[in-house]
Parts: sequence; structure tokens; C-alpha cells
Amino acid sequence: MSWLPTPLRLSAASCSLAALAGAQVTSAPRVPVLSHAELTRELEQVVRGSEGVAALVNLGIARSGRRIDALRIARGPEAAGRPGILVVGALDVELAWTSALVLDHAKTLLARAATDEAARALLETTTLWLVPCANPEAAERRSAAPRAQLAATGPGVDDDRDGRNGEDGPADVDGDGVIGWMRVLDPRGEWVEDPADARVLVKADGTKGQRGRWKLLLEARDADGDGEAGEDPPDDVVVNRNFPQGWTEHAREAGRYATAEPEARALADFVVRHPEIALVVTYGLLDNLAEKPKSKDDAGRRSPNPAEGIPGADASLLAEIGRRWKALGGTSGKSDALDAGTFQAWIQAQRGLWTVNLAPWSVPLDEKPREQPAEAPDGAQPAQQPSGKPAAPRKDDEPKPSDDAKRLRWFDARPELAGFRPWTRIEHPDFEHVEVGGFAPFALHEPPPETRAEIADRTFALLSELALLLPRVEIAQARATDLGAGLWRIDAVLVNERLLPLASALGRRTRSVRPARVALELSAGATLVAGPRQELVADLAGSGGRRELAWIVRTSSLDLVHVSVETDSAGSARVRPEVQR
Amino acid sequence: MIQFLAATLMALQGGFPGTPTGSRPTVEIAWNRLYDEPEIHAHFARLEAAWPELLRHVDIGSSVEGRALRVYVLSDPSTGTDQDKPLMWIDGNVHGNEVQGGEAVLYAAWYLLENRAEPQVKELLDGAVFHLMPLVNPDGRAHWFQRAHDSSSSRTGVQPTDEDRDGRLDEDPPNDLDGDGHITQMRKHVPGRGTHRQDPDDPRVLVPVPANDVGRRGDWVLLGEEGLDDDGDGRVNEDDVGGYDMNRAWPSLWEPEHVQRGAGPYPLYWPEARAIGEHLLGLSNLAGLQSFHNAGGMILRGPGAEPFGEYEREDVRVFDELGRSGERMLPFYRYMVIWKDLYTVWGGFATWGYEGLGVISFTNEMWNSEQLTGRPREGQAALGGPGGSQKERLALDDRLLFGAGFHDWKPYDHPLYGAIEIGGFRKDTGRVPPSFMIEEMVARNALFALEHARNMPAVVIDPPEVTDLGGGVKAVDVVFRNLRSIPTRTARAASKRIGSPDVFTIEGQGLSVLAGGFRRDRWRPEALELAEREPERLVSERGIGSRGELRVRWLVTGSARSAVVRCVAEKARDAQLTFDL
Repeated sequence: MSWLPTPLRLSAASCSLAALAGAQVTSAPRVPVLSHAELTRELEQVVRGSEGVAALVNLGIARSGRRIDALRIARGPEAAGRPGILVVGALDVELAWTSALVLDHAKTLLARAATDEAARALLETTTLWLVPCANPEAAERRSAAPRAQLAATGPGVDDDRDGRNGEDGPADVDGDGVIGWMRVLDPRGEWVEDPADARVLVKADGTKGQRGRWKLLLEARDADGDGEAGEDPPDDVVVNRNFPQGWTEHAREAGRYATAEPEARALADFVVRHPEIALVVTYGLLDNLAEKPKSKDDAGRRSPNPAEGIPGADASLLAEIGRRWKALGGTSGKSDALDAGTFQAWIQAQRGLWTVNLAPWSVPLDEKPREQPAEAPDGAQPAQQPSGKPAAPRKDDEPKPSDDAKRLRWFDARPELAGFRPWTRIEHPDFEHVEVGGFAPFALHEPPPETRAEIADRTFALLSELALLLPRVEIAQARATDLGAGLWRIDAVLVNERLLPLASALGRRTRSVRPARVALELSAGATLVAGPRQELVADLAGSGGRRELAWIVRTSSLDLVHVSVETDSAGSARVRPEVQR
Repeated sequence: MIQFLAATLMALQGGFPGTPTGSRPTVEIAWNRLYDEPEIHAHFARLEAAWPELLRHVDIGSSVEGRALRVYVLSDPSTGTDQDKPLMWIDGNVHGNEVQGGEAVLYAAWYLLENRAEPQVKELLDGAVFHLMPLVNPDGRAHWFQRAHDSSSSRTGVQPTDEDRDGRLDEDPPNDLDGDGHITQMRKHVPGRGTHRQDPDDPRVLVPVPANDVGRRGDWVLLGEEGLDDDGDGRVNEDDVGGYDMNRAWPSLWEPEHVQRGAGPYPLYWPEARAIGEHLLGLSNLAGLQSFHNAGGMILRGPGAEPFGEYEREDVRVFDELGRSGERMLPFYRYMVIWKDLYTVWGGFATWGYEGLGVISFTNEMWNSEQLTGRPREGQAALGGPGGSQKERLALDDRLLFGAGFHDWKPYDHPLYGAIEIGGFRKDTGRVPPSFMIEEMVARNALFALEHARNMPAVVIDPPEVTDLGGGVKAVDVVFRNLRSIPTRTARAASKRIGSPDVFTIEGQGLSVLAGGFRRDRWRPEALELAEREPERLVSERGIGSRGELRVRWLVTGSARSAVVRCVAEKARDAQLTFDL
């Protein structure tokens, strides 16, 4: 539209052109933003170049008809109990870029396995299941025009209860190729300008005498003429609200039932079918490493998992993983995203698996300003300190900037990212005073291109380290003591030297992680006199946790006697007892 | 004599209105038997052949073992499309052993078809469509019929499940050691060293020896159900075929396995439940739901668990009315709330029918001992329980079945227990009636479901009153009535926004609608909930209540001589009326 200020159009356009040029002409960034088709090509390339180490495994078909694929990467013997690690990217539309992050793990692993000990160990002792894009629609949304950050990809409901479904959704009203934010001057609005930065809106606090001035909405028309803009979008269901733990029946984004969305079901089925998975790593809106997860210990055995927290023992171990992440230089963002109905909540609370959730990047809220702050695109003074020191404590009468104001300050210093679109009044066909602008779609979730390689290296390092923390059940000792008269006492000790226990507290509580199966195997000529034929060990602590077992057998030779242990995801062993001296 | 008989038969009319003289069924079905899966479908096929214009079937999926998941559709297309009429769902046999629900569903179809000419049946069939699913769990039924079982086993579907968590699936089921086709009990004679002794009046019965200080011991021990330690783990019968509960698999108030045994890893996990869930979610006109189970003499409604709270008050009134009506139709049945009066059920089917789909839903537990004795439980020894009651049960079995229900104790040489005895009640006693009582039970239950169906909403429009307000403006007052007990929108559907709201319209050539709204007061025409927009199309979330009326006033002007008013409701036939202005 002609009324749009020219400089803005140029800056937005030139920025995206520059990004395109970077992607296509000069050296491609290591972690680009991939469309689903690009990702599919890349995955096939990885498989072709992997000399049989990587294979493509289909998990299911998304609602859009696109394939959801996993890369299976493993080298070396397929021993029983070899643990699996599942890495999931791009489940949330907002983090569509993480498909390339997960893809990068595959490339890094295959490239470094020859030279790097940690990579080699990861490749040879675990089975990696990499699902770069759990929600193909996320990747499509990211690359579609007009660009819009719309989390819902599943079927719509009649949000405004007028008996018509999906008739009034977000729209690119100003035709600039972006569905951004729209603020409408309206006495019924709930939002006011942040006193610290008028470009940012905050909720008006009536108890402090503030009155709302603006309605804040996604850019939309009033397509059905009911006075509301975009109140009944065609899509409502969010895939990562469609899992069973904390699923909210009848909430518009939750879906008709938990796992009704094909993407959710594909992922759920995959997990159910693969008991070798010991750990799940997700890149998304949720983060459980930035802070120690909340804990709550008093749930009864047969009562639903409390929403308020996980068992203290699990929380402490996740906090330890968080410390290691920070030691690697990791700076995931504190997550205030809801976990109700998410894959991550289901995996942890109902499947009892170790789950590391990373929000791999967020806009730094308290970053030291750059030396030469650039001028904000719309001429507003960036609210930054002139020195390189952290902001000094403010006086009480000075307005404290909201988190969004701090984010905006960060983008002000990086105009090349075009992370904020200045509010610009448009002629809206349905409302009087309308301005379009605000944070650009995906800007708050996508790290600047030049920092992504570093994020990829760090998360890969974490993945390598995590593989070494997974429980591993070994038979530390198997001793035979001659009791005389052909009787032998067999003593065995199971031990887990790794950090993580055989099962998380939630895994034990939910009984969803199968116990280790210990057996005394007797060949013909040996008979059991005392002791369990089979012992199921559900609980083996980490960091040297032990479990002792004893039997008495009658045998002519210890060659006829073996102690064996099998697990789904923590190794297996079979040893002949040695004579006690 | 023969001629006389022939003449009498000729004079008999087709149809079977429940009265014993003067008519005979078109399709004879022996209602003193229970039928295996192919036989149930064969009977339905005979009904389809006799009434092809009224009955057909759709297969909505396949069971784990590949049996058809078949829904029979009963409706009269000459009186309107299926989509236009309210739909009643009736199913049975979700638990494989709870077989007689299948016969009750067959009976409902048979009764409606045989009696389609009877005025009351015709009225019902003219205005409703039935989806009848006799066998929700056809695999469980087939296993129960064809293999050795007890009255309670084969409740599950047959997807292999690791109940004992040892990594092997279904490897230690009960064993029919005596080869009689039934899983009965094992007992061992251990004179002076046991816990039980024979009842002096009936040596088939073992009674526990009371605790005493004089060293008195019994001569027998009970060893549980017939079986071996098939997998050598030191336990007997601990991992049977299947091992889950498809009436714990439904989306509302679903909880995982550690809270609700048998629930599976996520809602609608098994193909049977999934297919039915998807089928029902696709039926916007679903207005009544009935599910048949087999033992207890109960008419059950939700909630299934206390944390849900109570159902909406207006809906409870409808439940109560139908439930009390059921108590009159079904001797020795009690109308009960599942969690309060029975036990907690998370993820039940009929509870999903109401909580998830917003439909008045019941589960009937069909058989109980009172029906056999003809006396209420109070004042008689309860049948089927331990001790003396088993004696009562045997006494009735001896008199009413000449002892056919009990397999007397016979010696058996058990590999673990040595010389034992095997005996007990057959699988087709206790939870199913003896043959001579099957018809009564299925008829009463089928008729209860039809009573439910007769209460699905039916909307009529009273002749509108037109009042001239002067200046060319007329007021049109219309009363929309629901003749039935079930509202067009249950309070649950309204509060959770399930389905579409009802829509009330007025239109006419040259008619201009100035304003319109729902009247709040019968006597004060100005007391109106005015429609903000589209006054000619009024939308109501709450619809028309139980035998309720909805009063609408439209203010109209223009040249129209006549107009049409309509009610479009998902759960009732559309109603419309043309009238003069």
C-alpha cells in the first residue's frame, strides 16, 4: 500500500534480501532456516553420505500430508539395552528454525566421529533418533507468505460461537507480506504504552488508576462484520497442546482429544514403540535447565501427577544437568511457557523418561549494551546506558522497563535483524485508528544467524555429555563360594556408576520404565537350590548405586552358571561367577 | 387340526409388539442363547435382508485381530436424511466377556424393525436415527466364546501387553488344565494343614476355618485359578492375553496407567476405541448414548471420579428422570453415580459421552442375582461371593439348571502343586443369565435405550403472534418448543461450547428485520436480550431446555405478506413454519 513509509519498506525488504543472499549466494549459514522440502533434501543427503550409519525412519504423516521423519544414527554392535536418545526439533511453530539445529547434530556427529572421542562414543554406544521437524507445518509456516507466527496448525473451532467456523482469521491487511501485530485505539482496550518505552504495550493496571487505551491483536480484518477482528481463525489446535499430561479438555488449542493431531500421535506412538529411549531432548518453548524445576513429592501412588511439580529427586538431577549445561557456556532462556498438554510434560510425567528441554535462545534481557548503539529505526532514543557496565539500579520514581521494553532495547542495537516493526498507522477497512507493527514474527525466538553455529556446538556438546550420564547397569561382582557337597553360593552385585538412576522417580512411580531383569542362568547339570529364578529390579540409584543378590545352586562346574541382567535402555551383561578366595 | 393351525398362522400379522398372541416376528431369533461374533452379524444380516430400506451397516475400522468394527445404521430415509435427525448410539460388549450387551443391541434393532408399523415405534423411527454397535470388542468376545475362560476374563482386547513388566508379552496366561473349556479353580487336600474345610452340607463348597486358639486347622488350601508357571518366573497366570481395559481409554478425565489400570499410554490408544472415538466425534447430531455392560443391575451415569465435581444441574434433572424411569423398567436395578455409588473410573466411555460430547449418556450393568432369585438383595444371602453365598448359588444352580453351571471337582496332577483338584463355576454363569432369562434382560434393557431415544429433542413452533406496533412496524412473537426431556443443547454442551449453538431465523420476501432477541419475560414483551448484529439470525448457546420453550420477538417492517421462521439445531430436526404477517 502506498501510504506505507518508504524507508520502512526498504529496510524490511533489504534485510530479508540480505538474508536470502547469505543463504543462497555466499557461503550458506551452518544453521539456516529450512523449509520442509529443504529439510527433506538435507536429510536424504545425510543418509547418502553416512555409509550406512544413518537411516531415515518415518514416524507418520502430518495433517498437511507431509512426512514426519527421524534420522536413526548408530554405529557398532546392536547390543541389548543399548540406550536411545530422542532429539526433537520444530514441534513449536515459533521454533521452526530448530529443525536445522537438529539436522546439524547429525552432520556434526558424522563429521567428528573420526576425530572426536565424545562424538565417537555417542555414535557407538547410543542410538540417536533425531526428529528435526516434529511438526512439518511449523516449517511451512515459517517460510510461507505472508509471514506470520501462528502457533495453531490444527483444525478450527467456532471461537466466536456464531455458528460459523473459522470465518474471521488473521490477515495481512496492509499487504506488506507480514501478519504482524495490530493495535486499535479503543476505550475497551486493555493495553497502555509502557512508560519506559512508548513503543511497547503493557496491560493497564486498573488498581493503579491506569486505563487501557489499546486493543492488541494479530493483524486482521473484521471479516464477518461482528465488530471483532480476527476472533475466529481457521486453525485453532496447537500440536504441542495435544498430549495427554495436563491436557485441557474443550480448550480451543488443545484438540478434540489428546493425540488427536496426527503429529502428536506420530510422536507418541514412536516413543511407545521404542522402549530403548532413555532420554528425550527437545528444542522448543519449554526449558527445564535454566532454573531448577519446581518439585512436589506428596502425590499418592494412584493419584494423578500433580501439576505443581516433579519429585524432588528428579528435580535435583535436572538441576545438576543444568549446572553442566551452564559449564558448557549454555544460556538457555528461562521459560514461562505452559507445559500443560505438551509432549515434554507427557514424556516426563507419564512415560517417566529423562527429559532435557531447551529453549535454545531468547532475547537477552540484561545484556551489556554494545559500544556504539545504533539508532532505532523509528528515531526513538534507545533506552541504554552509555557505559559498558550493567544498568545501575533505578530510582523508584523512574519507570522500570517491562521485559518487552528490554527486548526492544536489544533489537534497537541490532537494526539489521529488523526484530521490531515500528507502529505505523494504516487505513483499516473496519476500524478507525489502527497501527500495525510490534515485534516481527519469529524475531523473539530466532537467534541471529551468526550465533547459531555456536548454539549448535554447545547443544551438541551437551548431547555428548548427556550420553555419558545415562544409567548403565553392570554386574560389578559375581562371586562363587564353595559351600561343600556340590553346593555353591553365588553373590552378585549390580551397580550403576552413571549420574542418572535406572529410572527417574517418575519412571518408578508411573511404572512406565521397565525394571532390569536379573536371572541366574543354569545349564543342564546345575539346579537352583535357593534364590529367585528372576528378579525385577526397578530401582537402582545413580552415582554408584548398588543392588546385591544371592543364590545357592548345586552344580558340578561354575561353567554351567551365569548371572545375567537385561534392561531396555541401560545395557545388559552376562558373567560367569568367579570363585571367592 | 392341521388346517385349523395353518389358518391361524395365516391370520397372524407380522411384527412383534411384545404381546404374545395375534402376531409373529418376520425374523425369528432365539433369545434364549448368546451368540458368538459371526452369529451376531449373521442375525443382523437377516434383519438387513428383511428391511433393506431401513437397516444397513458401515465398518468403521478393524480390531487388533482384524475383525470388522461394524456399526448398524437404522433409519427411515423416507422421513428425512440421517443428518437431519437426532442420533441415538447404542453399543455393547466393550469388555470382551460382557457379552450380552451385544444381544441387547441386536434386540433393539429387531424390536424397532419388527414393530415399525406400531404408531409409537413409527413416531420414534420417523424422527430419529440409530447407530448400533453390538460388538465394541469383537476380539475379546471371540476369545471368550472360543477359548477357555472364566466369567471375568477376556475383558480386555487382545493386543499383547507386558503385564508383569518382564519384557515378554502375554507369556503366562491361565491354563485350561482339565481341558473343559473353562478356567475354574484349583484346590489341594492337605489334611490338618489347610485354611479351609468342606461345608458339611455341600462338600463342593470350601469355607474358611475361623481364627481360633485351639489349633484347629482346615484340610484344604485354595490355589487360585487353573494355571501353570508358563514362563518359569516363580509366578502363575500373571501375564494373560491382552491386559488392558477399553472402558478406561476415553478422552475425558483420562489418566495414565499408574492412576487408572488398563488405560494404556494415551487416550483411544487401541484401534477399537480410536475408531469409535473418531466415529462419534463426526456425528454432530448425536443426542443420546447408551452402553451395555454385564453385571450389577445398575443404570450408571458419571462423573467417574470425584475431582470432576457434579454435572450441570439442568442436566442432572434429565439424567434423574431417565434413570428413575429405568428403575421402573428394570427390576432390581439401581440408578447410580459411578464414582460415588460404585468406584472411581478415569476415562470411562459414557462419562466421555457426557463430559466430552455433551450428550446424556448411560451405562447399564445388566445382570444380577436378584433377577434370578426374584428377591431384593436385602434378606437373602448375596450370590457369587465367598463362603455361604456360594452355597446359595449352587443350590439355585442345582434346582434351576440341574447343576449344569458347576463343574464338580476332579483330581489333577499339577507339576508344581502335585495332586490337586480342579473345579468350579463355568464361564457362562454368574455374569450372564441362564438361558431362560436372557430375553427378559435384553428386552428390558433395549427398551430402556429406546425410551432414552424417545426423549431426544424434538422442536415445534407455535403459530407466531403478530402485533402491529404502528408506523409500519410489526412485532412477531414466536415460541419454539422442545417436546422432549433432553434439551437441544445440554448445559454441558453450552458451558463447554461443544458443537454448534442453535440458530433461530426469520425471513421473507421484502421483509426487513429491525431488531430481534430472546424474550426474558413471558409477560413483558420489551424485556429482550437484543441481538447486537444480524437480528434475523439469533444464536443461542443454551438452546431450548428440557420440555422447554424459547420465546423470540422480532420487530419487522417492509412489504412482506408472509414470513418463515426456523430453528436449526444440531440435535433436533430442523423446524420451520410459514405464517402470514
